[in-house]
This record gives sequence, C-alpha cells and structure tokens, in this order.
Amino acid sequence: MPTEAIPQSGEVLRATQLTKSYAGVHALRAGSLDLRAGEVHALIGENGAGKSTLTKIITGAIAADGGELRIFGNTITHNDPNISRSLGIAAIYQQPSIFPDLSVAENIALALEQGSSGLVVDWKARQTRAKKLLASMGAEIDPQRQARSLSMAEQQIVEIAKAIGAQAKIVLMDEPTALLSDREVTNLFDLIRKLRGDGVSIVYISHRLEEILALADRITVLRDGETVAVCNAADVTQQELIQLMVGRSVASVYPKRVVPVGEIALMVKNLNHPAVGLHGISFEVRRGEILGFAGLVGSGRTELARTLFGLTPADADVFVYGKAVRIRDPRDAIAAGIGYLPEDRRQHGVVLEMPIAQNISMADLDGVSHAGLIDRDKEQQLANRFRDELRIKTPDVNVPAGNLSGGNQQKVALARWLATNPQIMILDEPTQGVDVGSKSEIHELVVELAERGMAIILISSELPEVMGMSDRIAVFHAGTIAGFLTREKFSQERIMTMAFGHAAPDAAAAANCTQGSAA
Amino acid sequence: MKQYTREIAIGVANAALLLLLAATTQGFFTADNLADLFLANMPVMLIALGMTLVIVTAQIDISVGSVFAVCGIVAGITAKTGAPMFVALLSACAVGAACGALNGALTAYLRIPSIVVTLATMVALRDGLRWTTQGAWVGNLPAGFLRFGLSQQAYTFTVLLLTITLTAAYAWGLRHLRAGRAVFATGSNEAAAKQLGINTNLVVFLVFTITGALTGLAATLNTVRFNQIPSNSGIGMELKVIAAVAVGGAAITGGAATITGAVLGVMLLGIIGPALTFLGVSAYWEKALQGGIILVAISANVLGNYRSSRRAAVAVAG
Amino acid sequence: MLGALLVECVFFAAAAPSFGTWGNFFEVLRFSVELGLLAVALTPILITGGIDLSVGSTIGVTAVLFGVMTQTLHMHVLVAILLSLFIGVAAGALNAALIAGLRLPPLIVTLGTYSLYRGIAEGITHGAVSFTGFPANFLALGQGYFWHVVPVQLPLFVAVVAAYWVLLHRSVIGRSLFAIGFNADGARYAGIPVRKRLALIYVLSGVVASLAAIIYVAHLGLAKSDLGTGYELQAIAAVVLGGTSVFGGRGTLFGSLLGLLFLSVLQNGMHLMALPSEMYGVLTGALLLLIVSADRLRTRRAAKPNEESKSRTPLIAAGAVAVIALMAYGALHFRSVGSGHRLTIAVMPKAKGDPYFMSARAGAEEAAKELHVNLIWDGPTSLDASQQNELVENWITRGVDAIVVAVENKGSISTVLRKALARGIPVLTWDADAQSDARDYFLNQATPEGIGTALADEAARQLPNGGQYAIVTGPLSAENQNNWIRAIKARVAAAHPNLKLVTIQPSDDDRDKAFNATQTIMKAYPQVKMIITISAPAVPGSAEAVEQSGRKDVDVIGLSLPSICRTYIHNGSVQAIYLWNTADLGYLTVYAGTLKAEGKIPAGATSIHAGRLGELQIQGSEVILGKPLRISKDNVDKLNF
Repeated sequence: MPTEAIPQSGEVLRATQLTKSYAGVHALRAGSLDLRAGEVHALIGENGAGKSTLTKIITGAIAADGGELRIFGNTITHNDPNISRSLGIAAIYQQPSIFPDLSVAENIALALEQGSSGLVVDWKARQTRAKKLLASMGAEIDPQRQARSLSMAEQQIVEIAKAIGAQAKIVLMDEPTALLSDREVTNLFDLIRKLRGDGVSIVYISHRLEEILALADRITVLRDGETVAVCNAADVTQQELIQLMVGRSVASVYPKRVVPVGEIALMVKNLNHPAVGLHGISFEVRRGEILGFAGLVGSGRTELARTLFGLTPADADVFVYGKAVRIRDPRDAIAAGIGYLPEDRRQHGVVLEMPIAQNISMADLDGVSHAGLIDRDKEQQLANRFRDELRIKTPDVNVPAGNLSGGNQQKVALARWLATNPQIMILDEPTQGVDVGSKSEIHELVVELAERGMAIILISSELPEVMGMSDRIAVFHAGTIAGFLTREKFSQERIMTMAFGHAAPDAAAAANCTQGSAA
Repeated sequence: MKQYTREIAIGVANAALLLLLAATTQGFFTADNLADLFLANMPVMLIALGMTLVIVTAQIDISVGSVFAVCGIVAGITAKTGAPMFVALLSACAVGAACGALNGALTAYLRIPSIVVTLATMVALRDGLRWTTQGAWVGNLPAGFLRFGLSQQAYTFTVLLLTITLTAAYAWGLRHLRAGRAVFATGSNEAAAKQLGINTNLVVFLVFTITGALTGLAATLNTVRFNQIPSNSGIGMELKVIAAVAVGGAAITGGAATITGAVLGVMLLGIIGPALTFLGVSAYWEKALQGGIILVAISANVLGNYRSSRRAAVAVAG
Repeated sequence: MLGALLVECVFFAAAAPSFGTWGNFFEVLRFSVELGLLAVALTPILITGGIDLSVGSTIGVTAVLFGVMTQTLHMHVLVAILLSLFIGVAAGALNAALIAGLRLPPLIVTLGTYSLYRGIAEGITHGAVSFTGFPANFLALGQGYFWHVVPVQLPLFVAVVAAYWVLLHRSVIGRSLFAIGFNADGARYAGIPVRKRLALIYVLSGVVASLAAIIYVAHLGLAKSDLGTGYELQAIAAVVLGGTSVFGGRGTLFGSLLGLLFLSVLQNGMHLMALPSEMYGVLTGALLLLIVSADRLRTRRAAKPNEESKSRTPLIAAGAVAVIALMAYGALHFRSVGSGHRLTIAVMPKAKGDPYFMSARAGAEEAAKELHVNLIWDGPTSLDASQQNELVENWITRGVDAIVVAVENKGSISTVLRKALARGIPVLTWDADAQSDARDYFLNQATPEGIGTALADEAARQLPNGGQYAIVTGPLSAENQNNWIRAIKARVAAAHPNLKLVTIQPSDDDRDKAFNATQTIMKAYPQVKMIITISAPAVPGSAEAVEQSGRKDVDVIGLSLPSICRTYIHNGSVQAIYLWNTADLGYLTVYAGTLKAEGKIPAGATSIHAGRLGELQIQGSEVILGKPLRISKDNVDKLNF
C-alpha cells in the first residue's frame, strides 16, 4: 500500500443512507457513518440494529441496495472483499476466521498475500514477517504453531497482526474483546491506541459501553437500521448511550435484589483435574444465592463449569443438598439437578437449525415423553409456556431457533435448562453478544430464579455484571479459586488484584474471604 | 516432528513388512519384481495424487474407477484412428478431465455432496460404458501404441521417471505454490478462505478436474502395456485409492494430508497383496487383511494422538 | 420425490401393459425388501451425518456364517437365525466402537470394515463354498406368499419400517439423532449421550443388515460370500433420493422408502419394457443427480428469493428432457422387440459384459434373424444371482414365449424357473444348468468334469515330466470357476500325480489383475511351469505377464475366447485354450427356444434339427452340443468368435 499522507481529521470513509433488505425485511434503512483519519469510532446498537450489515457493506461482503459509500473520497459503485482490501480496509470479526490446519505464519500470510502476483510461496519471508509482526505487538506466539492450538485471545492477536501487516488504513473490529480477559483487553487497547497514533482509523463495534467510553473518540449509534446519533465520546454518558440505542430509558442496569440464602445447594471439595488445569478447588453455593465466578479467561472458570457439568469429568467430592453425586457425563449432572448455560450460544447453547420447541425440550425429553415416545402436544405446551414466561419474541415456536435474534436465542437456551427444573444453574457469560434490552431481561430473570430458590453460579468477564448480580464472588487464578469476596467487599480493583494472583488487599484481613483455598 | 507421526507410523509398517519379506522370502527384492510392483501400482499412485487434493478439500471422489475404464477405451479408440500417440494420451486426459469437471461443477457450484455426485457418475459411467461397448474389448491396436513403441525396459524407466517427477512436483507444489496453499486453505476453513478472496468453488472444481485428468493419464499409461483394452477395468479401484490416501494420514474432514503419506499408503496397500503370495498365505484372506490394515492404521493414529489432541481441544476451549 | 415416482409409474404403466398389475406390484416389493432394509437402517445414520458402507459386506459375512451354522454345524434354523443376528450386532459394534468410541470418521471406518467383512466371508468359504439345500419352511420366508400374492417377507419389512419410523420420528432417541446431525457438540451440551446414540444406530444397522442377509438367503435359497455386493451404494442412493442430507440433520424414513420404490420401479419397468440392464445404471446415476440438483435449487431459491435461480431452471429442464428422450429412444428402439405376432425368445447370459457371452450373443442374433423371432438378450451387468431371479420374474410378468437362462446359481433360480414352467412358458438352460425339474431342456456344451479333465490332461501333455502349476481364476466366489477348479484337482489327483498345485489367485475377471497376479506367481514360485487361467478375460493377462517376463519355460493354458487370445497363441505364450463354439451355442439357445415354444420338440424326442448345426442328440433332457474344442495355433485363425 502506498502510504500517502492523510490530513489529520480528514475524512477517510463516508457512508450515506445505505439501505439493505433481505427478503423484504429491512436490515438497514438508513445507515450512515463518517470516519476520520486516526480516530477510534465506536459503532453501537442493539443486536439487529444493523451494525454488522453496515460493516459487511463496507468490507464488500454484501452489496447495498441503495445509498452512497465513499472511501478516500471516491464513490464506490462496486465493492467486494478484494476491492475493499486493496483500498486498505481490514476487518476483524468476533469469531476469528483462522485456518486450524495451517501454521500461524501461513494464516497471517494468506491474509496479506491475497491479490499479490507470484506463483510460488516464499516460506522464509512468511516466517520472518510473522515473527516481526507478532513481536511488534508484544505477543509471544511461535509462527510455526498450528493455528488449531491457539487460544481465543491468541487467535484475536493473530487477526490484528494481519490487519497491521496489511498496513490497513481502516480497521473494522467486531466485538474484539468478547473473549478476552481484562489484561488482554488492556493490551489490545494499547495496541489500538498505537494504531490510531499511526493514523489508522478504527471502527469499533462493542456492547461494552465502559470500554467504548474509555477508548473511542466518537460514537455512532444505530437503531432499527438507522443511524440515530453521532456523539463525541467525551460528551456522553453510558445512560445516554443506552437511551439512544433502545430509544427509551432503561431504569436500572442490574436489577439485583437481596434474596435470603438457604441451605448449601452445591458443595465441591478439593476438585483436581490436571488435564484441564484445575487444582484444589473447593466451594459451596447456597439456595437462593448468586455466586459470581470472576477471573481472567483461561483461569479455570469455564473449565470448572464444564467439569461440574460432566463434559470433562473428574473425580471429585461433589454434594448436592448434602448428597454425594458422581458426575461422569452431562446426564448425571442433569439428574443431579445441575443445568449449564454454555458460553458459546451458537455452537453449544442452541441447535440453530432445529425448531424453538425442540430446542427447549432437548434437555428434558423425558419430561415430554411417555415410554420413550415424544408427546408433541406436551412439547408444544412446554415451549409456549416458556415463550410467554421469558418473553421470547416469536410468533411460532416451530420456527428454527436460528431465525431469532441473539438475545432471544439465549432465552431459548435458558428455557431449555429451566425446563429441567434445576436446583443449581451455571450461567456462563449469559449476556455475551446480547443486545441491551435482552440483557436486562436476562438479568431480571436471573434474579427471579434466585428468588425461587435456585442456586446460581454466574460466570462473567464483565466485572460490572458479575459485581452487580452476585451475592459473593469467587475469583479464579491459574486453575484454582484465589479467594472469595462478599458483596460489601466488591471492587474492581480487589477482584483484578486477586485475579492476577496477588492476595486481596485488606480483604483477607477483613476475613471476608471465606474458605479461600490454597492458591 | 509431531505433525508427521502418521507418516512415520506408516513408514514403519512398510519397513516391517519389507523386512519380513527380506527375511523369509526370496525373489521379492529383485529388480524385476520391484519394477512389476511399481507398474502394477502406478495407476493407483497417480490417481492418489489427485485424490489427496480432493480429500484435502474435504470432498471424495468414488467415480475414479469408472473414469479409469472410460479413459482407457478412449485412448484405444483414438489410437486406432491412426492419431499419434500423444493425441491419444491427450484425448484420454481430456475425457478424464471432463468427467472430473462434471463432478467438480456439481459439487462446487450446485453444492451437492461429492459422495452423492460421484456415486451417480460412477454408476452412470460404468453402465454407460457397458452399454456402448457391449463388453467388447478394443484390440488390433497400432504397433506404435504398445508401450509408446518403446522397449519394455525403456517404458518402465520412462513411466517411473514420469511418476516420480509428477509425485515430486505435486509434493512441492502443494507446499510451495500459492495454488497448493489455496487448496489447503479451502479444506481447512472454506468460509475464511472465501473471505480472503480465494475462489473456493473454483478450487474444488479444479481438484476434481485434475483428478479426472490424472485418471486419464494413469489409464493411458496402463493401457499401452497391453495389446488389447478391456472394457471392465478399474472396478473397485476407487476404494483402493481412497484407502491408500486415508491410511497415509489424510484427514477425511479436510485440511490435512501429505503426498508422502499418500505414497506410503499406496506402497503399503500395494505390497500387501503380493506379499501374501510370497509368504504363502492364501489369497482368500487378502481382502480381510486389507480392511484390517485400514482400521488399524486409522485407529493407531487416533490412539497415539489422543492425549495431544485432547490438550489442544482444551486450549481452544479455554 | 413423490411426484417423480408418480410420473415414473404413469410412464411405465403406459409403456409396458403388464406393469400395472397387482402381481407385478408385489414382485417389485419382494425384490425391494433386502435393499429396503438397508435403506431403512442407513436413514438414521445419514441423519446423524454419518455413513455405513459396510452393510453390503455384513450381508455377505452373515449369509456365509448362517450357511456354516445350518449346513456344516447342523444347527436348528431358528438358532442359526438368532446367532446370525448376533453376528450383525458384532459387525455393527465394531463400527460403533471405532466411530463413537474412537471418534473416527464413519466413511473411513466403514470403508475398512466393508473390506474386512467381505474378506472374512471370502476367507471362510475360500470364496468357493456356497450353501444351498435349506429346509423348505425356511425358504418360505423368502419365497412364499400369504394369500397367494403377498410375499412372506413383506410383513416383516413393514414391521422393521414401523419400528424404525417410531424410533426416528417419534422417540426421544430419534429426536436426539436429528440434533446430533445438526450439531453433535451442541447435542452433547444439552445432555444428549451422543456416543451412546451413535453406537446404537450403527449396531442396529448391523442387525438389520444381518436380517436382510437371512431374508436374502431364504429368497435365493443360497448363501455365498458375494451376497449383497454393491448394495450399500444402492441403498445410499435410495436414501439420498428420498431427500435425506448426507450432511446430517435432515431426512425422513418415508422419503427413503419413496427413493427405494423409485429405483425398484425404474428397474422393474425397464425390464418389462425389455430395455437393456445397463441403461438402468445410466438412468439411476442421471436421475440421482437430476433430482438432487432440483432439490438443491429449490431450497436455494427458498433461501435466496430472486437470485440466480432462474438461470439454472432451464438447465434442469434440459436435463429432464434429455433423460426422457433417452428413455423414449430406448423405448422406441426396443419396443420393436415386442411388436407384431412374432415369438419373443428371452435369453439370459450370466453377465452381459463378459466377452464369452458377448460372442454367444452374435450367434443368438443370427438365429433370431433366421427364424424371424424377437430376441430379448438381457442379464445382470455383473455376476449376480438375485438379479437373474428378478429378470426372470419380470419376463414372466411381461409374458415372453420362451426363457433360456445361463444359470449363475442352481439353488437360487430354480424356484422362479418352476414358476415360469407353471405359467406355461418353456424354460431352457444353457452354459450351466438349473435343477432338472425346473427346466425343459439343458443345452449342454460341456460338463465341469469334461472341462477339468481336458485342462488337466492338456497340462500333463505340456509337462510330461510333471511340475508345479498355478491357477488364476475369476472372482473367488464364481460358481463355474470353482466347479472347474474342483474338477481339475480331481483329475490331477487321479491321473497326473506328478503335477503339483502351488496357489490359486483371483483375477475378478479383470485382465490387469490377472496380469499382476501372474507376475507375482512367477516371482514367488519360480519353479512354476504352468499357469491355468480359467476366466476368459484373464487369459490375455496371464499370457502378457509370461510374455513380458521372457520366461519360455512357463506355459499358459485355459478357458477363453480365440478373439482375445489369438495374438498370444501365435506368439507361443499360450499353448492352447479350450472352449466350445460359443457362437454355435448362442445360435442354439434361440433355435431350441423357438422350437420348444412352437411345440416342435415332441416328448421323448431323441434329436432335434437345429438349423445350420444340423442334427443334435438329446440325451434325457439334455441337448448335447459337443465336446470342448481345443484351440491352438492350428485352428485359431479359422474361428471367428
């Protein structure tokens, strides 16, 4: 790419009144965005507001039905991924698109070499370039590694390396922090600021408003396919942004109500599982209690949840309401009254192609069957009941779950577990990638469940969420629980300090860290 | 090197078999016998080159046996019109490529699963050939057609050189050509490959076409060894080719395979039959043994990699 | 799919008058049962995104073991049936262990067991043993009728279908199979025991395949290692035609049944129209592609309303027109066969592509022309006893004037031939005989003993001092070849004790395989002096191998045709081949068939006048054509077949 100088605050991209509809349904009515050189421009909106449609038009993945797109002053009449790439646009998606069978170096190279001529691959150059790029980002990833073995965060880093390597002028990032731990987020932000300093323009899509206010220069808000506002980040508050997004004011972000806690619902004693990196884990959660699991990604929260649910079974002393249970597979867990709402909704939470009703009954097929045969009426009743209870927005419970928005899919995934009537519910990132409206509905629901006497484990990488919702928080570090905090001791600083492996400042002295196992 | 465990395992199996033969039999390691063995497996080897690509893109082609028969007949008929040798060769390759292109087009552009497409073409081509030839053989071939007019040794040498060159070129191309890497990218993650502007449909289309052309080449090279061309050749060949490639470590789910593995797989399956004869084992058990080898090869690989793959899975999940 | 089936039925009903009868309807169903069972078993497997290529081989191994149990071990039939089902369990369990336990790809696993199970069947029987002589009450399972029209196996099939339907479409297990097909990981997160479910359907698939094997054995009255060869692919074709996606998640049992019926009706209709068997394969392939393409385009159009669907519609239409044109061409071309008041003589070779039978066909056509009769010349495309039965059934339904069959398996075809006799259709056999009460005359060219003796004596003549010899045969399971091998061995033991057999190698009637096998024999047994190759296409392969090796001390003799061996006889690599005049034999099939149909062979006749062949003797109920002909340098150029 020729690096012609772009004047500071000069316009690099302007989208005006873009429209796009699928089968008569408007995905984008009037999407507008103007992007200046060297700015971080946040793009926010509820799911279905048109963010991804707008970015897809910019990257050329889809064609707009109407409106105008100008990039570097030129009107783009025909766009495709190759054209947008040659114009210096790079996109980083929430789910990194890696080639699992190929090496890191090749993953980077494939992205950078597209469109270049030449028949033969220069492996040496690929290797050196990958090494240099990764080093410049401060990442310690061996370029020879098979991409299959990368963690989500590492994959994200490789994605950004691609964008940097392509010397992109415009980088689109779709929820880049969704799967990152806080330290990794900090690193990423440093990187983004560095890019901005180099004159790169960044379109940053996220649901995390704190992040956006900390990082972005300007913010474009989309609602129902229309651009409704462009603000300077310095001039707005979270509450204002939420109002702009939903078009109404959202009363309280976290509807926490104190529920009297009862007897011990789940007790785990000294759980060790070296294969997934867990050791010395002991904790308990009580009836009506919400126990938050905080910690960095990879610190063992999801691994513990998967182990408790029997997906990666381990020998451990697990007691449900005082009764010892052995959990060797998910069926044992379900029989013991444990439900697990998984982290990856689209892969594990729901089966997208199957009807909503069948998704809801899936974990409790015995409940809607006689002698192994499914009673369809009963199944419909069950589904309709949960549709009404959880306010799942669909006219018909027999349409595929994939037709629903993310928030509604998550409600279906949750309904599946509520149908089993669990005594203990593990929620793994329940609001990740969910629009603001559904998010507060899910929070409300979680509190209701606690009130009904369910014991809840809430895993979340969003500290405000875990702090706003939990009665207690278990902070994970390196495969074990570093300590517990009670509600009055909640603070971001304390949690992060413990998550990074230090003793909680003054918390231990205050003796509120109950039952902290050896770290 | 961890990623070569499968190749090493098959290499060891090959070596063990050869050692057993060296220790217990005579006459196996004569130049004559090795040349015969090579020629007998040359068609499978050449087609396996194409099949490796097909499997890398997570597809399968079970029509190669039928295409092989069709191409042999085409080469013979062309030669009988008095056309020069290379025209016969080219027409066989062209017909093979056309069959492959049909498979490829239906798979890539219409998105019909390749196993369905090639099942259909396998049956249709086989019976179509039976119908048109009515089982008749093509005989009275021109003298220049037989071994390209070369002596037996010269022919063997030429074909050996050609096969080695092609195989080496393939191995090199898959590793070092941009096009070769595009095949891997397509098989590893088609959606991502598309995003990068790789024309994945074209890649799939081309690997089928290439496989067809290679089948035509293999058929012609095989045909010229005899003075008549039967119309029923290549029955069951697809299974031998796929088994060889799979035994050689190709992941049927796409994205991973090596030419080295395919060569070793062809070797193992090619040696086992004659080895049984040399060892005096009844031919009646050959098929059972081949099946057993396939199962052992794929299971051993999984059992060997179980730990490491599990750890990798955990890493990704984390 | 239903539409396509209806169109097909209407077409055949119009084109072949006997198509639309009840009898024919049930015959179609009877022949669909074995394949149908496999299609039923494969449907849930495909729905989970898997595949099972081993079902055809499971039929083979179960049939053989069933034969061993009843015939060799003299077990009670019911006990044997029960144990056979357990064999199916075992076969399915191995697949299940590797697929569900080790999580290996089903395609490769079942490709391995496909080979393994068939190999075990061949190993146990040495390919050669075929079990017949099952008790009549057992055979009724495959050949009998309820109320004279409903085949006995049909209710059994219906029961299996019903059970599978409940399992797949109504039960908790079936629901989980769909979930696994869409997203196996997601199903696991919902507490579905994915491995257990997968294991179950693969085990069930083995059981159903073994049930199919038992019905198949009862149907044919024969248990042999090659039963069910190629059935897996046909069953998959039926399931896919029925709309089940090989990617998993989508499909219905009803669809599979429609797909199965579509294929069965196609084959039946084509036989009734006397279209050649090869056309069936061509049409199956073409229709499979066409229907799946059309389906694909339809769903794509539904997904993308206005894009690119229109441009492809003409393509599909063109394809459909092409297929209909092909069928119409076939119909017109072969319809002439059925028109007018001429007699129709139906002659069946064992396999259509075989050069031996090809050369006989020339003689048959000559006789048909001479006698002004219509000739239907059709048979299986490869050796297949059940295909022969089906074809005879269809000829009976069609109503031909005489049936002349080269019998692949005596035990299996006699029932249906008796049925033809009972309907007043004259039945003759040629090349190989049926049971003597199942036909009027056998056109006897030579007995296995005659051939064995001739070959063994020839070998002794070439090797006066004795020595080692090897046999290259056809497929290991070929009945004729196995009889000849037995006769050769017997003659050698009796008359030429200094000849020693070192090995028997299969060639699968494939010239190239015979070539490779002969090369290996010469290397592994350097002392070998004689190769006896007893498959017509294989002799040139053996000869070429000897010639290329430059070994002047190795002789090749065998059974083959002069036309494809001429070069080798002249250059000395083949000393002699034996055969009768196949053109004459073909001529006789039609000539004798016509005489019998016209009632011109009176009971007790001792000879017939067969056109250019002159007077031929009748001994008992056998028309004697003459001894095998020794073909060598001296006479090969005088023979034009």
